[in-house]
Amino acid sequence: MKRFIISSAIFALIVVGGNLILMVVGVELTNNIGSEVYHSLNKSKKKKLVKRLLLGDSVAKQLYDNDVYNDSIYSLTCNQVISAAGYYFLLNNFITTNKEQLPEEVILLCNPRSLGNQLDAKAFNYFLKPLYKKEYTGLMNKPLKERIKQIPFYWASQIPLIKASCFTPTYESLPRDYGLFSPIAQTYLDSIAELCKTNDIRFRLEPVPMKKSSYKEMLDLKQHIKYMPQMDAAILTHFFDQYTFLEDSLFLDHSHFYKEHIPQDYLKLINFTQSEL
Amino acid sequence: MLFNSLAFGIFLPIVFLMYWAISKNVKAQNVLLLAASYFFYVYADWKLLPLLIASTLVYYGLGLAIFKAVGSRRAATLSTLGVVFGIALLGYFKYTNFFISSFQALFESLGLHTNWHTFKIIVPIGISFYTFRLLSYVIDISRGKYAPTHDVVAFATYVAFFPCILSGPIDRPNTLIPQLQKKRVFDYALATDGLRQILWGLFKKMVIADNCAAMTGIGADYMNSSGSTLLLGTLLYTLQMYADFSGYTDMAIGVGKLLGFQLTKNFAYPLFAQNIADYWRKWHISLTSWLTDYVFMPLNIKWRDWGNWGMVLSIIITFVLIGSWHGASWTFVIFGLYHGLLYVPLILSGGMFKKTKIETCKWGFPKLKTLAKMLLTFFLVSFGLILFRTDSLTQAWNYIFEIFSSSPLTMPELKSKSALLFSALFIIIEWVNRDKLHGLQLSSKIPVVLRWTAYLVIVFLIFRYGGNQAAFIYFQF
Repeated sequence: MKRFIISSAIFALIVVGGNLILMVVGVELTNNIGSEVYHSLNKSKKKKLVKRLLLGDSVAKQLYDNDVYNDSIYSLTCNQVISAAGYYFLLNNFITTNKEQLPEEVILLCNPRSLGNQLDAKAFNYFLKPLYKKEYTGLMNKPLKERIKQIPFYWASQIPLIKASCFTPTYESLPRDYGLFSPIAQTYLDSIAELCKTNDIRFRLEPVPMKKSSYKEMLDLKQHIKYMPQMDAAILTHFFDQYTFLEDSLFLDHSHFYKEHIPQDYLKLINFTQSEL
Repeated sequence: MLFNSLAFGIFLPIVFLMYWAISKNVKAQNVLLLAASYFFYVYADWKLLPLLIASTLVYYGLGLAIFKAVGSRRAATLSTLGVVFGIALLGYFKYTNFFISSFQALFESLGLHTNWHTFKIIVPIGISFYTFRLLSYVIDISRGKYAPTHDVVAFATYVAFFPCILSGPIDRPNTLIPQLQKKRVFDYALATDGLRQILWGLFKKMVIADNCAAMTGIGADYMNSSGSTLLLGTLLYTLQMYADFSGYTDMAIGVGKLLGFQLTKNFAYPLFAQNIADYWRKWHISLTSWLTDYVFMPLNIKWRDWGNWGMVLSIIITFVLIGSWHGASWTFVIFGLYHGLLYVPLILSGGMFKKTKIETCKWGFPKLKTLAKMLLTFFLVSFGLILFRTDSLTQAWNYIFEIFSSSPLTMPELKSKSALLFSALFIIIEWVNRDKLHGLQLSSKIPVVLRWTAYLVIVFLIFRYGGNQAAFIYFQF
C-alpha cells in the first residue's frame, strides 16, 4: 500500500511539476475551444495598415469571418462571451501596435443581446483563459475584477493543463435586471468610444440582422438604455435605427444564420472601399 | 457525479484511503462502501434514494423467504412475485408514458378520442441496472444456484456499489457478493492495473468519444448535409458509443480493482466482431448474458420442438427486450427487432454458436476475408445505431434516406479532424491489444520509464484534447 501511495504521489508530482515548469518558462497551451478568440488576439497584435477594423460577436464572425477579412477590412470578430471588455482589449492591442498607422474607422458589429453579457456561461473558457493575464489586468476596471472573482476557480485559468483542457466550472448567471447593456458593456463601450476619440478614429456601433420574431423583445430592451458619458449619443441612436429584421427561416438558432443564408458584405464595406479607391 | 468530474476526483481518493485504513475489518469496510455508494447516488438526487433502499430490503427479504421454501410451490410463487415486482417497478418508471402515448396514438388512428395524459415521472438513475441485479438474485436463489446472504450490508452494497450502479456492469450475485463477504488484501499489481484502466477509460471517454461527438450530433440542419457527411457521422457514432460506454466500464472496473474487487468484463473488442452473434458476445456482455440466461435460454428450451424457427422467435423476443431496455421509444424497439432479424441467416445456417477466430497475415493485419466480415458487421451495427440517435422513426428514415439520396460519394464535411485522427489511433491501439484486458495493460517487460512516459502522454492528451464534460451516453438508460 505504501509503495502504491508513493508511486501515485510521484506521478502526481511529475504532472504538477510539469505544469509549474510550463508556467515559469511561459509556454502557453491552448484548447480548440475559444480558438477564434486566440486567433483574433494574435491578429490584434500584428502591424497592419487597415482602413476598417471590425470587432464583434459570433454572428458578426459569420458575416465577416476573422479568417477571411485580413486586409483593408480587418476582422477581429470572435464571440459575445468575451464581452465589451474583450473587444476593448483587442482594440487596445491593435492601436498600441499600430500607433503610426491607425485605422480610419472601428466598427463594433453585434447582436444587441451580446452587449448584455456579464461574463456568464462559458466565460471561463472564452474570457478568462485567453484574457485573464498580466498584460490585460491593467486594463480591467473594478467592476470587471469583482465579477471575475465571482467565477469559480478563476485563479486556475492560467494553469497550463487547465488552460489546455476544456474544463469549465458551472455557476449561476447574474440576473439580467439591467435591460440591454450590462454594467461591463456600459463601462467598456464607453472606453472603446473614448479610445477611438483620443486617437481620432471614427467609431460605429452596428447591429447584426435579427430574427423577425425577436422584434418586440429588441424594442422593449431599448427602453432601458443609459447613455454613456464618452459615447456620442448619435452612435447609439444610429445603432437602434439600423435594427434589421429578417425571416426566421434564415436562422439556424436564436441568432445565427444557416451557412447558405449568411448575407454577403452586410455593411457594404467592400463596395464602399472599392468606390473610395 | 460523473467519473470524469472534479467531484469524483476528490471523492475517490478519500474513499480509497479510508477503505484501506480499515482493511482489517471486513464489515466496517462494507459499511463504508455502502455509505459511499449511497452518497454517490444521492449526489445526483437524494429523492431517489428511498426507492433504492426499499427495493434492496424487499429483495433481501424475498431472497431469504425463497430459500426457506426452495423446492416448494411457495418458492416459485415468491420468485414470480419478485420478478413481477421488479418488472412493474421498471415498467412504471420507464414505460408508463410510452404506453400511454402509444395507446393514445393507436386509438386516435382508429378515430377514438381519449382524455388520457402522460405523467411527470422522473426515471431514477441506474434503475435499469440495479433492478436486473435484484432480479437475478431472486431467480438464481429459486433455481437453487446459491444460498441467499444473511449479511444485509453486503447485499445492499452489491445492489448499490457505486462504480457500477449508474451504468453497470451488471454483476451477478455469485460474483460480487462473495467478494464482499471475504477479507480484501491490498494487491499492488491489481491496484496499479486499476489506475491504468481508469486512465484508459478516461482517454476513451474524453478524447475519443467526446471528440467524435462533434461529428455525430444530429442537428436541425442534418437534411442539408451531404450523404457522405451523414455516413461518416453514422460510422463515427459507433466509435463514440463504444468509446463512451466501454470507457465508463473501464473506469468502473478500474475503481473496483483499486478497492480489491474483480468486476465482470463488459466488452471484448466488439469493433473486431465478424458477425452479429460475435458482436453481441463482445458488446455489453453483462446485459446480453443476463438476457440470454433469463429470457433466451428458457424460451429456446420451451420452443425447442420448433427447431430453428423456435430459436429465431426466441432471439427476436430477446433482442426486442434488449432494445426496449434502452428506452421507452419505438426506435429502441425497432433497434432490437433489427438486431434480432440480423441473427436469422446465422441461425438458419447453423453459425450462431460458432466461435469466430481472427485470422491475421504475417504483419499482424487481419486477412482479407476476416477484414471483410469485420467491416460488414461494423456497417450493419452502425446502421442500427441510427435508430439510437434519432428521436423518432420518421427522423431515422429521413436520415437513412438522406445518406443515399444526397451525394454519398462527395468529400464529407470535417467538423473535427482530430476526431478522425484519434479514432484511427484508437482502433490501432485496440487492435494491437485485443488479447489484453484493456488498451493500457502494458507489459512489465517494457521499462518503467517508457511506461510512465506513455501514461503522461495519455494524461496530456486527456487535458489537451478531452472534450466537454458531456454525460455518459448509457446514463440515460
